[in-house]
Parts: sequence; C-alpha cells; structure tokens
Amino acid sequence: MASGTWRKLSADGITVNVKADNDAKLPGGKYKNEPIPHSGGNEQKKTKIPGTIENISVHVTALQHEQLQALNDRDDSYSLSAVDVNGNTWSAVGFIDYDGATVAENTGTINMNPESPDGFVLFPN
Amino acid sequence: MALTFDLNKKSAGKRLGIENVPFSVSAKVVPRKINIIGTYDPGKTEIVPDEPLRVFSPDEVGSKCGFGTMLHRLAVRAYDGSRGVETFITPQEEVGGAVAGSGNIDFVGSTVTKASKLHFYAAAIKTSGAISLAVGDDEDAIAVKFAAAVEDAANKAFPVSAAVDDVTTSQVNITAKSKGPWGNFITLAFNIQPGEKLPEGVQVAITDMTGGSGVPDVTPALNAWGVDDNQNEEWYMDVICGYGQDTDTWDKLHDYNGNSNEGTGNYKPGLMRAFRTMVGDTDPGTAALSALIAKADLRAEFDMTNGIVAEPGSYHHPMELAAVSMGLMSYTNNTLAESGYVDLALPNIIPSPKTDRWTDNEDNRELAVRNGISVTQVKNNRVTLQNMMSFWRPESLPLDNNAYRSMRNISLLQNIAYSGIQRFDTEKWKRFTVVRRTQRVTNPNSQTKARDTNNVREELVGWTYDLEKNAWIYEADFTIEKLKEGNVIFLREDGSGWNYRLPFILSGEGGILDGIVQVDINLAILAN
Repeated sequence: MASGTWRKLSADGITVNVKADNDAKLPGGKYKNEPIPHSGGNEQKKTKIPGTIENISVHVTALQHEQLQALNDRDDSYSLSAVDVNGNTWSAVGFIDYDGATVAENTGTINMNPESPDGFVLFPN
Repeated sequence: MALTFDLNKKSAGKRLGIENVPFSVSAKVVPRKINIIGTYDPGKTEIVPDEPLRVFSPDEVGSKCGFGTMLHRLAVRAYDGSRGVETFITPQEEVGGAVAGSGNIDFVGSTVTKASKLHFYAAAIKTSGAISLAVGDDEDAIAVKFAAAVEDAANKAFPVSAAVDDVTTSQVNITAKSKGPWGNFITLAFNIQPGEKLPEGVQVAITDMTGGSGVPDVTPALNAWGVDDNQNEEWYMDVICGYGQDTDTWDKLHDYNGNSNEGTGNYKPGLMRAFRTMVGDTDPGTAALSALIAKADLRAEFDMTNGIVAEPGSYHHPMELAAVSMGLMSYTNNTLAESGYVDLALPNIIPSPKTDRWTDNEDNRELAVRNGISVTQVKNNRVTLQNMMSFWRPESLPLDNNAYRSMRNISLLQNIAYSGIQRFDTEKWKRFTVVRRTQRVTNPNSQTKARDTNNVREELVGWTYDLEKNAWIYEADFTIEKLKEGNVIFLREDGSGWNYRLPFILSGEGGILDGIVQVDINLAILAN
C-alpha cells in the first residue's frame, strides 16, 4: 500500500488529473460527533455531514474548464469517482462544485459532493 | 434525425434551427403506448388493414372502423381504463369465410298487462333508448319494438344488430357486428342491475350467441410494427388483441414478443421493446378455474407474453374485460412503473352474480395466482383487479424467484431495460475510445472520448442508485457489493468495449400484510 495524491477524478465521464502536491481529504464518517455536556456527563450529538471530498486541486485544460463549468451549473446528479494512488476507486452519484481555474498554472479546485446515501463507496483495486 | 447545416447553400439568410437532444439521463418512466388489434367493419374501405393507426378517442375508432365492431368495443373499454394513454389500433380484415356469431330472443306467449320497460343488455351494455311497452302489446309487437330499439341510432355502439325473424315473428334474431368467435362471447341478458324486471305479461326465451368462427392471422399486424432489428419500433408496451383464448394467436404473439431469458423477439438484447398482453375469461364456477389452469399449464414453460384475467360469470365480453384491465394497468404504470394493481376498480364494469364467482374464495384465488391466472375480486360492489399474472412459470424457476410471472414486474423490467439502454445511448458513450487509464490521455480532444473500465463502473453505480431512487430495485447495496467483488465488468479482448453482467433485486410487489393480534381477558396480567 502506497500513499500519495489522487491519480484522477472523473465527473460524468470527464476525467481530470490531480495536481501532484494536492493532499485532499477523504470524508470521515457520515456524522460529525460532538459532546453536549450536562451535569451527568456528556450526551452525544450527531450531525449528519455531506461526505464531500473537498479542495481537490486539478489540472484543467481550457476544454475541461468549459466542461466543468457546465457540470457545475447543471441541476441534476451524475457519476463521480476518484482513483487513489493504489488504484482504488471511490465512486458516488452526486454533483461537483467547481471553483474555477487559475490562468498561470491551470489549477482548478473541485469539491465532489455525493448525493447517494452511502456517500463515496470504495471499489478496491 | 439530427439537424445539419447545408454547406452547399448559397442564398443569403440567417437561419436558426432548434434540436432537442438529451444531454443527461436519469431513469424516467417510459411513456406507455397501447395497441389494439382487432377486426373492423368491411364496409369501411378507407381503412388500411395491418397498418397501425394513432387514435385519440373511442368515437374516432368507431367512426373509422365501425361502431360496435370488435375494434370499437375494445377501444371503448381500453380508454375507460387508460384515460388517455397514447393509443393505436392495428385493424385487421375479417378472415375469408368467417361467420358472425348469432342468437335470438323470443317473446312467444307474451302480452303486456301493465305498461313498463324492457331492460336489455348485450355484453353488459344496456340499450340507451328506453324500450317502452304498452298494455296489450303482444309477442309480435314486442319483437318489433325491441328490434327497432336495438337498431336505433342511439345504440350504435351496441356490439350486435337485431332483426325480427321472417318466419317466427315473435323472435328477434341477434347478430354480432364482428365476425368470428368474438360474437359467441356476447352475453344476451335482461335485468342484470338491481331493481330491474320484465314487464308484467312478458316472457323471454334467450338463445345464446353461437356459431361465430374465423380468426384472422395476427402475424401481418405484428410484422407491420417492424421486423428484425426494428421489431416493435414504436414500442407498443401494452397490447390488446381481440381474438380471445385462441392458442394460435397466443403462439404468434409469443413468437413475436419472444422470451427474455432466451433473448428472442422483442427481448433481443439491444432491442428490449417487449410488450405484455392479456385476454379475459368470464366462464362461471370452479370448473372454469380448472380449465384455465390447464390452459396456463400448457404455456408455463415458455410464455411470458400472454395472460388471462378472470371475472367469472361476468355479463361483459371477456375481451372487453381484458381491454379495460390492460388500459388500467397501462394508466397506472404510465406514472409509476413499479406500481401493482391490487384493488384498482375497473371502471364501468358490472359485477358478476355472486353464485358464479370462484374468485370470492381465497383458496381459489391462491390456486389461480400460483398457476398463472390473474384474478379480480368484487369489493364494495366494484370489480377490482388483484394479482395480474403472465403464464410464465417454468419448472426450473421457483415462484419466489420468478420475476416475469407478474405483469407488474414486466412493466418494471420494461422500464429498467429502457433506462439502461438510454444511459449508454448518450453522446458520452458514442464513438468512445477504449484505454487503460484515462488520466494518461492529455490531448484535450481525445480526452472527451477516452473511456476506461472505471468509467463503465461509474456509470453502473449511477444507474444502480438511480433505480434505487425510483423504487425499481429493493436496494442498491446488493448490486454495489457485487460491483466491488468484481467479475461484473469485462474488457473485450479485441478492445471493442466492455461486457457487464449486473445483478439487481427488483423491488417487491406489495400486496400482503398479514398480522396476528393476541388478546386476553384476564385482568390479573395487569397486576404484574
């Protein structure tokens, strides 16, 4: 098992490569857990969280930029996946939030939001 | 056909066209189409036989094919159930040498002693004009009034015509408007609704309709819907064929529609434009149930196309009963592909006499459903659909695993197949290039068409969740687990694409909620 950056992202069939220095984070559990203190101890407060894979820096060509913009503006959901350094694939149905790309380095930022209740499902290599 | 630019055009102009194309695909319920196959009035020479025709109302069918003919009667009932689902007819000529079924009504010995009305029904359709009788009307006078009333323009939708017999003048001869066995199933009856009775002094002897013969060959009609890779090109999903329990017609419908497990006919992979169809049965008593089971048994191994719906003892024409049932099923699945039909009331259908109904007995209904017979049940004086079945019950497939035995599941599978074909029938998956890793493809133009195995899996994951969202499958988890395990997607050796074998468990057709309530009267239990 190696560690390293994502190999690629794919959204509705559009594949984009990930910047080498990006260390995006996989979502934790489905809930954010907080204590609610009271005189008898702490009660557990569970808040559902979206399970987003956030702040992925991707290398974006001009054509991909247009495609990602179009995806960003769509109001339906579509297939999403990310392949990690070991070749494992994390797949979901959902939608992206595309934050645009820098002109100097063609670096775009994407958040991948799952819509399906299971979030991103691991398909081992 | 896609819009194109005419590059040879020389004339000045600023031209704009609009092309409506699907950009993305999610599972949507396929708009259903009904096609009614039947015979028409041979006098309607403008009809082109064996050519499907879009129709918009039962009256239009009556006007084009003849009021009261098989096609018109079936259209009336289909529209009763479907409430406007897109409907087509495929008119067929009556077969050469065909004979119309006939019967008669004899008023011999009658003399009216109190002015009143006759309440006459043919196939449970009542004469719309009142047949008023006056004191002193004798058998001949009654016969004349009766025949005139049936022939009145107000009764043009009647399935029979009537004429006083030339010899026996108290007798009215009744003839079906359409030739063939169809006429033999038109029940002639008086007083089938509560509160109706014969006028005082009137007596009738009814000779049931019989002698009709000659069933058209349904194959030319089916072939007109398309053959080979254009089979059922318009995708008629619900078919009503007026030829009743004719095994030759069943065979031809089955041959054209095919079998899903064998990938034949309309079930050929890549086509998947299957239809479902039903006939009716109105024979009374449990002997009729045994006879139906015997018929279904003969087709259990191969026939997932046809089915029979039973309303024992019904005054309605069995095929009209089937038409309204198919119409209602079509209407229901036009909005909810996964909906069953339990307790849906058949509109404008008069319940059969209680003594005739084997369907009132739960054991009989259970026996019928287990043996591929669809049942109705009278509830609150309305005829309701219960389990709707096809004949498909092969020995190799236990009932608990058998999807195609249920007409509801056929609807579901029609929609699942369509959504699967649509999912890969998008620009994204046309003229794609097969590569091992899409991330290595950096030419921006090539990237748009480069696809790897992950892309296929993404699409299948998306499809699975889409089906779950629509309640078309029981759960996505099972399918996702199978995808994780692998052995689902296979790269083709020649690099021409992928094959996949994806398992789904269909959502259940709910209809049973059995419970046991436990009771006690001993108050001592409360003290504990």
